[in-house]
Amino acid sequence: MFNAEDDRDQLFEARFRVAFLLLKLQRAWDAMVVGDFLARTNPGTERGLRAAAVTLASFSTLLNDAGDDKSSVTSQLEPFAEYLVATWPQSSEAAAAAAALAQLSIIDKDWEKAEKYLNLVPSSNETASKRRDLGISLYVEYLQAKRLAGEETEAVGQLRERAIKWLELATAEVGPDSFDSSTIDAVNALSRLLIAGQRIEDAAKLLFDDTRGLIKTLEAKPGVAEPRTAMDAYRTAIQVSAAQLVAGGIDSDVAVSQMQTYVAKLQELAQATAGGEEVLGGIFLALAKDLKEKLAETKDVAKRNRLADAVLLVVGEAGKSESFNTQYWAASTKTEIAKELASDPSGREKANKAFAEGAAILTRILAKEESTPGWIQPAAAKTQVRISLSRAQSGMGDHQSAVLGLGEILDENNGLLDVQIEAAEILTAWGAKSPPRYRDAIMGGRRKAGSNVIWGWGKIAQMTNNQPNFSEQFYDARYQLAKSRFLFAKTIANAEQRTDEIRRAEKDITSTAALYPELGGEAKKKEFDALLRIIQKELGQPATGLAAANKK
Amino acid sequence: MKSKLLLLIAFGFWLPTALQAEDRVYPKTGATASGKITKLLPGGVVISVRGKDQNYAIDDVLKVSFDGEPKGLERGRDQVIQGQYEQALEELKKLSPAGIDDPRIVEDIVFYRSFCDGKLGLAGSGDKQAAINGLIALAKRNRNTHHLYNLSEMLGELHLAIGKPADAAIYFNLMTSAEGAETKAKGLYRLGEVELAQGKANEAKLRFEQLSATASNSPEMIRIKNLAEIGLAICLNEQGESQQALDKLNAMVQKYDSTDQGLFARINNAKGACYQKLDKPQQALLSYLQTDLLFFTEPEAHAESLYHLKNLWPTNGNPSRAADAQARLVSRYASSTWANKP
Repeated sequence: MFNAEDDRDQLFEARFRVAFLLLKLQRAWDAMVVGDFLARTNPGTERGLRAAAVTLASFSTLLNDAGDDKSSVTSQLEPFAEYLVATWPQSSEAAAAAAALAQLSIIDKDWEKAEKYLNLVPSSNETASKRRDLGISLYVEYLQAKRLAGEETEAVGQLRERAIKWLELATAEVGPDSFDSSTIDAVNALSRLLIAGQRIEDAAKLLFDDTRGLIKTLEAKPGVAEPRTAMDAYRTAIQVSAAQLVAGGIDSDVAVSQMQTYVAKLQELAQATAGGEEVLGGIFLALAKDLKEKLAETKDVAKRNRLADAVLLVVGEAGKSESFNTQYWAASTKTEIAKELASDPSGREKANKAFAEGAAILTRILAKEESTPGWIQPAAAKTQVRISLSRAQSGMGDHQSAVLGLGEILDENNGLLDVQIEAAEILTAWGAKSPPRYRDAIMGGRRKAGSNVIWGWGKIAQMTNNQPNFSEQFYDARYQLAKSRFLFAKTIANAEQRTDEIRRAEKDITSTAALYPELGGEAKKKEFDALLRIIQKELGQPATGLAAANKK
Repeated sequence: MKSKLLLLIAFGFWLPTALQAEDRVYPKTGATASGKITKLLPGGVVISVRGKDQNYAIDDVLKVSFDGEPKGLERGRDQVIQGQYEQALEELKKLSPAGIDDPRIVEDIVFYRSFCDGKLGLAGSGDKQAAINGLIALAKRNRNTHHLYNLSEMLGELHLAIGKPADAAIYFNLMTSAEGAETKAKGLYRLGEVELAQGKANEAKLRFEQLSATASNSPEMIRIKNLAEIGLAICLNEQGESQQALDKLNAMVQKYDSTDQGLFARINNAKGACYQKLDKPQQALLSYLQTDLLFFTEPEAHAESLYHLKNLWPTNGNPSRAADAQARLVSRYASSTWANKP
C-alpha cells in the first residue's frame, strides 16, 4: 500500500502496469478507467500521454466489441478525446482520438461533430483520411440533397461548399507520388463539386496540371489506380472538358479532342480489365446524364449549342465503335441531349436530328444482337436498349412505335417499374396529339388476360404506395396522374364533363396532400402546388395552391 | 566504559533511543524530545528535557512513547501509524496489561487495540461494536487522555458507519472544542459528513464553506480544505446543481495530489453521484469503477462504490459484474451500511 514516504513515480508505474495488464487481460472497461485516471492526473506530461495511449487502446477494443450500438462507448470517448486534444494537441494520440471520433460521427452522419473533431487537431496522416472521408460523405449528401431539392438551393450550395472545404484540405498535399485509389476518389468528387460551384479552372487544374494533375499522373503512371477508379477519373475529365467548353476556357476543337481522348482511354481500360465492359456501361450511362445535366443548366443559347455540338460530335464518332457499350452510350447520350434540346423551341431541329441518330444506332445494336446473339453484354442490357429506342422514337414523335416497343417488353414481364413509368410518360406525351391516350396514361392499356399490361399512372401509384424505396416514384405517379387528367379534361368539349374531370384532377392533388402533407419533398411539393394553382384558376377559384387546399 | 562513551560523543554518535529509559515525544516535524513527560492532556504534551520543559500541541505530535514500555507496544504503535492495523492488533494482543505498573502504558495498549478494532471494523472485517465499547470505556476512565480527539473521531466514524449519525455528531462536536486548528477543522469536516448523511446539504455546505475559508496552509489543513471542497461539490449536487458540481470535481482531479487515496476515492464517488443525478448511468459506473480499481484501500468509499456498481453494471449489459460487486460488498463489508442497503 502506498504511503506518503513512498516514491510517487513508482506509484505511477505500478498503476500504469495495472492499466496495461487489464488491457492485455481483455478487461477493456477496467483498463480504460485506470488509464483515464492516470492521463487526467498527469496532464501535459510524457507519462500522462503514455497512459492516454493505453486508454485509447482500451476504447478501440470497446468499440470493436460494442456491435451496432456504440453510443455507450462514444459517450465516454468524446470527453476523453477532447481532453487529450486540449492537453497534448500535437500528439499522434490526440490525432488518433480525433480521427476515431470523426469516423464515428461520419458513420452517424453527424457532420457538425465530425467537423468539430477534425478542426481540433492539426493535419496529420491520421486525420487526412478522415478529412477525405468527411469530404466524400458530404459530397454524397450534397448529391442526395440536390436530387431531392431538384436544384442547387442555398442549403444545397452550403453543403457543396462544406464538401469542397474538406476535400480541398484532404487533397492539398496530394501529388504524383501520393495518388492512390482513395485520393483519386477524393479528387474526382472535388472536381465535380468545383464544376457545380462554377470553379471550372480550379477543377481543370486538379486534373490537368502538368506537375500534379490527376490525369497527367494517370498518363505517366497508369498503374497508380485501380482500373475502375481510373475510369471514373476519365469520366470526370470529360465533365471538366465540357464545363471548360461552356465557360469558354477552351474552344470546341480542343474540347472534342480531349473528350475523344478520354473516351478512348475509357475503352482501353475497359478492355484490359476483367468485368471492365460492365463498368464502362455504368460509367457511360452516368456520363450521358452528366452531359445532359450540364446542357440543362446552360441557359445561354450559344453556349448550349456549342456544348451540344461538341458532345454530339464526340458520341457520333463513338457510335462507330465495335463495342456494344460505346455504341449504346453514343445512342443514349444522343437521346438524352436531344431530350434536353427539345425542351427549348430553338433546339427542336437539332433535337430531332439527334433523336433520329440515336434511334438509328439503337436499331443497329438490336439488329446486330439478332444476327450475333450474345453480343449485348450483359444480356439484361437488351431491355435497356429497347427502352432507349422507345425513348428515342417518342422523342421523334413516333409515340405509337415507342409504346408498342415498351408493351412488348412488358408482355414478357409487366413488373418492370421503370418500363411502366416510361410507357406512362410516353402515353402522356402522346396525349397532346391524341387525347384518348391521356386516358391510357391514367388507366393503362394493352389489355391481355383480363388486365392491362401497361399499368398507367393510377396503378403505378397504387403499386408504389407505402413502399419507402419507391416513394419518389409514388409521388411522381400521383403528380403525373393529376397532370394527365387535367390535360385530358382540357380536351373535353362538354363544359360540364370538362369541369367534372378538372375537379377530379384537383382531388388527385388535394387527397394526396391530405394523406401525405410533405408530398415527397420540397421540389415535388412545388410542382404539385404549381399544377394545383393552374387547376384552381381553370375552375375559377383563387389560385392559392396547396395552402388553401390544406385548410379544407 | 566512560572512555568509550566519550569516544562515541566525539564522533557524533549517541546511544540508540531504544536503549534509553526515557519518555519520548515524536513531533511530526523536527527532532524527537526525550526526557520525562510532565503533562499529557488532550490538547498537548509537556516533556522535561534535561530539566527544561518543552511544549507540544497534540496536532503537531506524531506519537508519544513511555519509559519502560514493552517492545510490542512500540511496534504496534508504529504499525498503526503505517496503517497496518491487522499486524498491529496481532502485536498488541500479545501484551498483557496485568503486569504493567505505568497506567499510561496500559491506557496506550487499550487505546491502540480499540483503535485497530475500530479501523478494521470500518474496513468491514472487525467488530465495530467491540471497538465502540473499548473506546468509550477508555474515555470514561481518563477524560483527559491525550488520545481524546483521535478516540472521538474514531467513535464518530464508527457510529456513522453503523447508521447512527446523531451519535456520531456528538463525538465530532467534541473535536470542534479542541484548541488545535487541525483537530477543530477535522471535527467540522466530519460534522459536515454527518449532515450529508442526514440529507442536510444546506447545513453541511455552511461547514464546508467555513473550512474552505480557513487561512491556515499546513499540509494537514490543505488536505482538510480539499476534503471540504469535495464536500461542497456533493452539496451542490444534492441541491440540484449537478453539472456545476461535476465541473468542480473534474478540476480537482487535475489539481489534487493523485497519490491521496482518500481524496480521490471521495472525488470519484462524488462524480458517480453527480452522473446519477444527471441520468448518465454509464459515466456514473465508470466513476465508481475507478474507486473500485484504484482506491479500494478506503473501506467506506470502496463499499459505497461496490454498492453502486452492483446496481449499475446491469445497465451496461454486465450482470455478472454486478453479481461480482455484490459478492465483494457482502464478503468484505458485511456490517457496513452499504452492504445492508436495499
